[in-house]
Amino acid sequence: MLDYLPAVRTGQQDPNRDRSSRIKDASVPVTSVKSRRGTAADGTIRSTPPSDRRSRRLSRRQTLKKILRYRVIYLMLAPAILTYIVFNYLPMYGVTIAFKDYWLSRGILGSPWIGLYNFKVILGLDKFWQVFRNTIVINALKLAFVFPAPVVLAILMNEVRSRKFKRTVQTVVYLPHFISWVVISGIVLALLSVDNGLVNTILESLGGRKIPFMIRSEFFRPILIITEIWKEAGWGTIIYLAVLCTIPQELYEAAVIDGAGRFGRTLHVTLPALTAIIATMLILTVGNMTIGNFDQVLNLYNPMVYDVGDIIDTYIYRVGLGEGKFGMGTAVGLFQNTINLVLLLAANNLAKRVTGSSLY
Amino acid sequence: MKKRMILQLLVAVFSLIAAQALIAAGKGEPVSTAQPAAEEPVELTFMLNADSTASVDENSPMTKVLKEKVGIVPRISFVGSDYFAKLSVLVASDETPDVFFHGGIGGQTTYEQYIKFIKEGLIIPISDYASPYPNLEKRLQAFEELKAPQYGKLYALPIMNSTKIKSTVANPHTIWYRKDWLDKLGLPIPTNTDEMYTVLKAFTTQDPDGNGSNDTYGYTSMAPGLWWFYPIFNAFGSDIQRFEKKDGKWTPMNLNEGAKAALVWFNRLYKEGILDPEFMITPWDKMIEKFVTGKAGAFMANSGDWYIVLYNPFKQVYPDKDPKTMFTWSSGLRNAKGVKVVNGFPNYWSMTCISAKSSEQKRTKALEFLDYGLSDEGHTFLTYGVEGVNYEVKGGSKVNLNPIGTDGNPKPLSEVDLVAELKKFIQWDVGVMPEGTPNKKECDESAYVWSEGAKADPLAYLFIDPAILDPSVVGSLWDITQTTWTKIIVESTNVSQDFDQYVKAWLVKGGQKYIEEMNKAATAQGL
Amino acid sequence: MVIDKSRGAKLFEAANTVFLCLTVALTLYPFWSVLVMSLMPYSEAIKTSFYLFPTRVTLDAYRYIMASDRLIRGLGYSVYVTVLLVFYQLWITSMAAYGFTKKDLPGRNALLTLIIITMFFGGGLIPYYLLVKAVGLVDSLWVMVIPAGVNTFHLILIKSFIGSIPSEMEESAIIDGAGFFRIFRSIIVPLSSSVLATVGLFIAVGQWNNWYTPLIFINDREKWPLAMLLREILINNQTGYLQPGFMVNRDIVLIRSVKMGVVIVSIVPIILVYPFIQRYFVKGVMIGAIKS
Repeated sequence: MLDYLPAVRTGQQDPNRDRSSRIKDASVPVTSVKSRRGTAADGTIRSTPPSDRRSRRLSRRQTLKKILRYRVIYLMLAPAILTYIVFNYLPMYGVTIAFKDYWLSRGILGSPWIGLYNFKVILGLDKFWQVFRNTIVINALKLAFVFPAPVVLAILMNEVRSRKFKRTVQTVVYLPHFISWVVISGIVLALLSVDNGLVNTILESLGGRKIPFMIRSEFFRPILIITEIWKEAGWGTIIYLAVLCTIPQELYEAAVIDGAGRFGRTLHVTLPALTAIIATMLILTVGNMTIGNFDQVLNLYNPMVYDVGDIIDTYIYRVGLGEGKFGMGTAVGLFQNTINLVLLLAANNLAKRVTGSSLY
Repeated sequence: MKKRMILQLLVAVFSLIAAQALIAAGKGEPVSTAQPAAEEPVELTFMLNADSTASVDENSPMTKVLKEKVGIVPRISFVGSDYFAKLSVLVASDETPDVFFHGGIGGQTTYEQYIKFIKEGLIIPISDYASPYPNLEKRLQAFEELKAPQYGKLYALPIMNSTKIKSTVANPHTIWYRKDWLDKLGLPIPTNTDEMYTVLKAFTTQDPDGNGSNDTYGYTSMAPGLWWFYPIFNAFGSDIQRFEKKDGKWTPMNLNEGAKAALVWFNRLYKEGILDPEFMITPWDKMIEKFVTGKAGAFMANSGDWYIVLYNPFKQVYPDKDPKTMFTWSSGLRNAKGVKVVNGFPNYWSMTCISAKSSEQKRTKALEFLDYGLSDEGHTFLTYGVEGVNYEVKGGSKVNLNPIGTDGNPKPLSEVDLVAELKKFIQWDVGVMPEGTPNKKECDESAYVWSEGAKADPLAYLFIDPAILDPSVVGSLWDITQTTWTKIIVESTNVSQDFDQYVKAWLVKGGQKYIEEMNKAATAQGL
Repeated sequence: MVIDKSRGAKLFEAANTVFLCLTVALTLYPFWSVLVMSLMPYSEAIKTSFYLFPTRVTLDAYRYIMASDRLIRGLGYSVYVTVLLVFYQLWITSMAAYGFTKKDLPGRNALLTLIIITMFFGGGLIPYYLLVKAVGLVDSLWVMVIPAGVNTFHLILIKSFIGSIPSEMEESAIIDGAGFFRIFRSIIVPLSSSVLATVGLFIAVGQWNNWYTPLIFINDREKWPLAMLLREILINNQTGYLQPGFMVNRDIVLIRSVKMGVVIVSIVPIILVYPFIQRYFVKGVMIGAIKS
């Protein structure tokens, strides 16, 4: 069955891209340049032949022409770029704190270098690799269970016929997003408590035994996942619904004419339309894999579940490497974010190849 | 069209800000204001790790008094959370508050920060400047032993906990019990661990709240749990973190036989359902709830002003009963030899620092302020406020004149006049509640009631260079203790075996090095 | 909506409705119990752990929260910085997002890479503070707007959305001789209304609840927005009991209801505003445009 696409599929048959490649074809035969500018069998690098120089001059002129053509675009980019430069790149030198012994009075530039000392201390901490693994595992589980939840929910909400019902559902499901983890942990503790927690009361009345959920390791990660879904799934539907509502009606109608049932429509109209946004959100989530949800874990964990629930962020905090130890804090962040960036780029490439759409 | 206009407007605004930024950046550091005339009150910035809901009022009665008596106008800023982040940011940008609060040498993390502050020359050695100020000098004398870990001087004023304490260490905690249950079961307040066991077991099994169901725990605690068990470890001759000298060598008490015995005791309590299974995750306010509603019969917390913390809930929940009959404090545990032994804590909590970057005039005024606050007159002023406005003297005692608050009592001074918060830089007055405080008698009586037999930490102020032994190692060792011991209490079927394994692990994961370095440093300091 | 009358469809609809009702109940429950707990007096609240209906209602918690006279002013400031930031960030970010959808724009990939890098690496609090101070934004409410003009996540979202708009839309306008800004204003923005409304909502919520920026950058308490005031009340009541001298003036019996009351107070404005945002989630705007 054919996929029903809006007139242009997200990202793929982008005429801009086609146009630019057409322009490229006209200017420079890329492959031939490469093959000519190579090393000779004896290892000497040939000098660039005259036709290459000319074609590069041509492409440079093409680029200048494009810049000129796009001058308004550059103007439109300017405020954002300026803000990034001023507020993100100017302070960027602060990253060096991770490699320095920071003295408040001397400033960052005046503080002495200590190289990888901070990293050695952190990576040498007794439980570091255990909590690192915990962080990754928990985030992987969240990727598998928490990530799809708002997508599924949004699709189901989209299928609702009654506008009033849909509106009501929309208005209610986002509410838990605003409740802080402190409050949620109180609610969860009350629900799962061994004495008169609701769940245990029900269990007992059904003839079972009470289970101390909060202090057994095997329940902690599921608790993290379920509470996160509870808190964030509703809010997460907003962006997917925003995309879903732009799907033109005719696509559904055309699918029906072709004999697609509800499931078929979802598979061939709804999901393809969501591919780009899902890919984007997925890539961004993967790009956050080494950073855990500090607030959530801090408020829900306890010494009995440290071995499965302790994440990098809470461990560092507990062992006293947070406050005042700027170098250490920055070093941990650097460690985490370097891995994150690599993961993001990998996910981006994968997404580009599999779905054709990606972050950039 | 409108949208274009808005865009242009925003671009204009943005460029204005950017232009201002460039101009400001070009200007460089702002010129410091010239010294005001000597008669003009000097503005001092204070920064507290606290919150207050009172509003700033330049002309409040107490501000006027400060202007008169000390010649300062206080600018108080409160930072509840992320205090150290804010402080660092201010120090880094050359805006250190003139007077600020710091954990000082109590606590690992703050100790390191504090020593760094000293090394960087950010705070003045107050003890060097104290001689013109009699009250200040007298107070500093009470803290002589704190000079050792601060290069021989006092770089901050330790904020004294209580004038009630006459020695240098005291214990500010206690175990609170349900008095009505003790009375009902005809049991006395426990004085050692055996009696504790008896009482707690009775609480659990004999349904003292008479509600017909066996849903009570003898003992509970608050997250993360283990730290508050220390007095029982003390009673068994051990401790969770401190060192003792054995055969001329300093050894950690968490590895000795007493620790094992204490763990056996707790393990038994847990097994028999006497210890609340969620003791390690219960938040402190939930813990109080359990106590008040009869789910738990005893717990450990601060003494003194906690009396009020417990009084109000009891009053609310049992309006027809007298809270005084329902709960009470205890006074320390005896060890196997019948002697009271418990960890003592120094008589201060946190410290007041004066910035070395402030002008000399401001620093002098800051010292003057501290001296005034420590005087009798200043103390009365900061505790009660202005006579005639906040209080009046009737028949020899002070009566609170402030407006009535949400609990039906007159509001405390700090909710009425912000300046009262400055008392937090001087002393806490635990156990010496202001006159007119409801339940003052019980608060004062219970405060420091566990201090008999309180021993100071002999190695409290041993400072080891972070390059040799990073404090995070000590942090992670404590983490190992906390985690393993909690597990032993909850799950262990063979405490002795599990404990021995713990000892091995603790030593291997940095404990051995820790012991060595501690001994080296102790020898160097003649301990 | 495609009407499908088959039996399988009816079954699905019934199951879907049940499932969604369950979801509503489950997500409503925590919020509802927060609301109930904020209204219950201490003596009632601690008797049960499952909250359905308050046995007795008291407004003490709200009275305590509203007691601060700075609250109204804080509310005003919050509205001010929120509205400002929504428009400011949406403008800057959507313009940039549109620009970045031009895949043959010279330097595009380099710029995007540099932007994505800022999601991962930053200088930290102190250099940032020094910069903000140099720019003159410390102790000014503008600190909550100007530096927040860009947000990479939102940029990516909007860019992804704009990138999916069929190019024919633009092409016809280009043939007519329209410049890029004109295209942006008259075609792109209207077509992106749903994603702009969504991102606008994200910005508004983030700004409304932002207490960290005022905490660090605004020293003058008189300029604090609502989020910071509420947090102060919260911290006031959550901590302090384990330290000497901090308490006495706090009434523990209010703590629990005040904690909950603060959540309700900060969420009420969002609840009021959200229905208006929903209007922008309109369907099928593209139909007419494609035909041409």
